[in-house]
Amino acid sequence: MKKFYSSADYKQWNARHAKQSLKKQLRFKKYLRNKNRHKNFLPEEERKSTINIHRDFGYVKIKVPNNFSFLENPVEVIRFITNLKNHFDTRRKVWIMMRNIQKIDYSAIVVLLSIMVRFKARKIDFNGDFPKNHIINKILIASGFFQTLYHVKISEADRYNIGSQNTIHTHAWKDVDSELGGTIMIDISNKILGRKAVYKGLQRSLVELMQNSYNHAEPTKEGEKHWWLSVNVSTKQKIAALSFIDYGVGIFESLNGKKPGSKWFNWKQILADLFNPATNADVLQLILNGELHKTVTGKNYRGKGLPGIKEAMDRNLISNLHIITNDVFADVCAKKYVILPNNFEGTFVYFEVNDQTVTAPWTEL
Amino acid sequence: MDRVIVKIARDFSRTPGPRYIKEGKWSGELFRTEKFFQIFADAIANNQTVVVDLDGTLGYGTSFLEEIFGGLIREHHLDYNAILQHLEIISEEEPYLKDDILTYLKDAHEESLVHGG
Repeated sequence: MKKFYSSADYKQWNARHAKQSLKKQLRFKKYLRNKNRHKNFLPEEERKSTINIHRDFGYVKIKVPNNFSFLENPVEVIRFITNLKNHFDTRRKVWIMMRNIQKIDYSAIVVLLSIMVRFKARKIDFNGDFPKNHIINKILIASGFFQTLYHVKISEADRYNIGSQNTIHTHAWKDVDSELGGTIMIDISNKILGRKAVYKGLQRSLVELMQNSYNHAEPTKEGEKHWWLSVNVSTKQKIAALSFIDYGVGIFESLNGKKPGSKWFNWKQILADLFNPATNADVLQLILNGELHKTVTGKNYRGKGLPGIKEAMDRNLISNLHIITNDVFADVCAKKYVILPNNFEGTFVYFEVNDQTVTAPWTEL
Repeated sequence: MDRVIVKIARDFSRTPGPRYIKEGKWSGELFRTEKFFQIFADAIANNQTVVVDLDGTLGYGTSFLEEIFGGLIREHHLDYNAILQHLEIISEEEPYLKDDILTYLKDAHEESLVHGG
């Protein structure tokens, strides 16, 4: 045996074999390096998504609208939300296809986050791929979407806080949280004005919206539905965008569901006698102008509820107010009230404050 | 007439909240039942003016204000005219709130007449 391994022939064969083997190993190493080169430079969340792309069996694939903006493309976004809601109700796991998103804005972030959290809280698998567009990717990462999707365990809770304080922050709760306005206001005013200031319109709008969600989102039980609020501050543009959403029944369905004994019961008939509104778009206009309240209750609205928010806009305490509820889209600032071909089950409100918004001085007590 | 000053931001909260206690923190109902009614009832009994200073808060939901003022008539059955005689409102930051509050009081008074309150 010793003679065989020490023979010249064997040594020659062994050296040739070792050389070939090394070549093979190096070739494979190079192949692997090339294969992983692209992937290794991606952020962790994106790498994870690339791996998961091959494991999407059993998911229902849902395409995210290319223009993912609730304000610019409400019809497609409502279709997307309704589609997801149907799968949520039947507990089917979904894969959202985000690769081709060309545009996203902050009105869509709150939609995406709230839906994802609802799926995760119910322990229904929710997954998706990354947008090809790097700017959109950055926005989504800043919103905390991927961090929450891949790293955070979510249970059915009353309160959620997602995202970082520096960019986009999303809050969710069921009760009216007036203290939240204070936290948001300090952050916004410091970034926009460089000092602490009081945005009275922001606080009024938030309290009214939270209270509306608490009382009207679910007709059978108060405080049943979450409201969601996303806040994004652009220091460069000096604008803070606030997007508020609840997945209740929506304003018109809520009014329609009022029982005898409620002051709003039969509102439609009372309103029809005086104004004869043709569509819900006309009705929303009447609501915001306080006419519905005045006509049905016989009293002045004095800033209550939605008219109060519009009043805040008229006084330059907030700006760029948009409302989407049921089949109505309203760009209140531009007095544009449109009927949509599909129905959004819930209420979405968007508004902004900026460096021209009227503020009051922040006083230390 | 002596003056009793109530500054909501200092004596209750910088962030007044919803109408009812069940709806969330710092509600109008909480303020009215725990502080405001007693202050007002005492002021009427002692012939004092209640000066309500609305400034210094981060803003008001309208239900909060309706509940604290309208509730004095609706829930505590204080006399509308007595309230008006003993009430002074300071609202430099949001002057329109004064008119709103007077309307809330008037509405609550009219409702109490209808319902025999």
